[in-house]
Amino acid sequence: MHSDAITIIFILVNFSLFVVFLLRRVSAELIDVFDALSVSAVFLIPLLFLLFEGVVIRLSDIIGVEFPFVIMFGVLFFLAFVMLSSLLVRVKVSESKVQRLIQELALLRARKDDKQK
Amino acid sequence: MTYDTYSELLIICPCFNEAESIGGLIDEIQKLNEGFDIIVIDDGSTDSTFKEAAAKVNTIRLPVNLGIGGAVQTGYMYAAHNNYKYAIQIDGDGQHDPAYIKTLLQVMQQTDADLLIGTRYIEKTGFQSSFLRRLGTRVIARFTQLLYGYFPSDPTSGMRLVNRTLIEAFSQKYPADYPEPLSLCYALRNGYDVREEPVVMRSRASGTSSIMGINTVKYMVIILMRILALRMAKKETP
Repeated sequence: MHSDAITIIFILVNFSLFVVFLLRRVSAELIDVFDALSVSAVFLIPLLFLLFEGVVIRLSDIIGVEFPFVIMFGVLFFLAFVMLSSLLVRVKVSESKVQRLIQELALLRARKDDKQK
Repeated sequence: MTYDTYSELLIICPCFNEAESIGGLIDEIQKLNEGFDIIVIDDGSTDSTFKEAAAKVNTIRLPVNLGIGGAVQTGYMYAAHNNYKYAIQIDGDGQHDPAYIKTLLQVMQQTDADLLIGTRYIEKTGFQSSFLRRLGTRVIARFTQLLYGYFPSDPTSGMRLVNRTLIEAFSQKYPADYPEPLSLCYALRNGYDVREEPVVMRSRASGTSSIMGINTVKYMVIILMRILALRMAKKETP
């Protein structure tokens, strides 16, 4: 069997296992569907690079990159940073919401205590 | 004193583990006999701060420590809910002399300022802080001047009086970290009238500053970046 076919099968098997793992977490509401799809890029991108090898080689020639897999890692790192920045924004928004709730709770408790006096 | 008490001015005292100084500060304010309302915001203290303060004035206890910005904003939320016309921040560590409250209020009423900062660096009397801290303050002030066209002589002063417009704005949006220079820049960015009035500050009655050693460098980098980011933020209509 051609080495590329073996690699594709290897990636597909791992990808399937990873999808099962992610779907379980999605069903338990531990991760959003969108996030699960984004994380799946770790398998999807190498798969796309393998399936469209000719395009990648031509692209690496245009950009001037000697090894096409550098482009693949570049795309993966870029996606990882996009995901990270989106997560940081979500953490900050959640932090602000939690702070607001704590403040409102403290104000309500003070009002309640005062009414009981 | 009840929760819904109304007077024109609310004194907001944010404090974290200030059991040693908060009682004395409240007594000092009450001795002024001006009838101002006081709200102490206990920012999740682990000592007897809440007990000390609640025995004398209205006190709000935050269940967890939010930091100075979160505590002060809680005070502004209280002021907004209770329709106060003015609010002044006086730190619970005893650095700010309550005797200046009336002067600041008079200046605000005469000038129609939106934000009036009590500054220690105009007349240069009383507690002046360390050389490094003054240098840092100067850098922040010059950077603020460069970006906003206003030179605040004491951008890190926590003694600040605001009017109703800013009470409402700050109750909605107030920086959680490093709030003094950032709230000042927010006010400048959005066209509020910012002024300064000389005050004499004292050294802390208890506790130590969190901005020391390597934290000073971190503080400066974050502050300057946040000041720059605020300059790039979309203007809000006052």
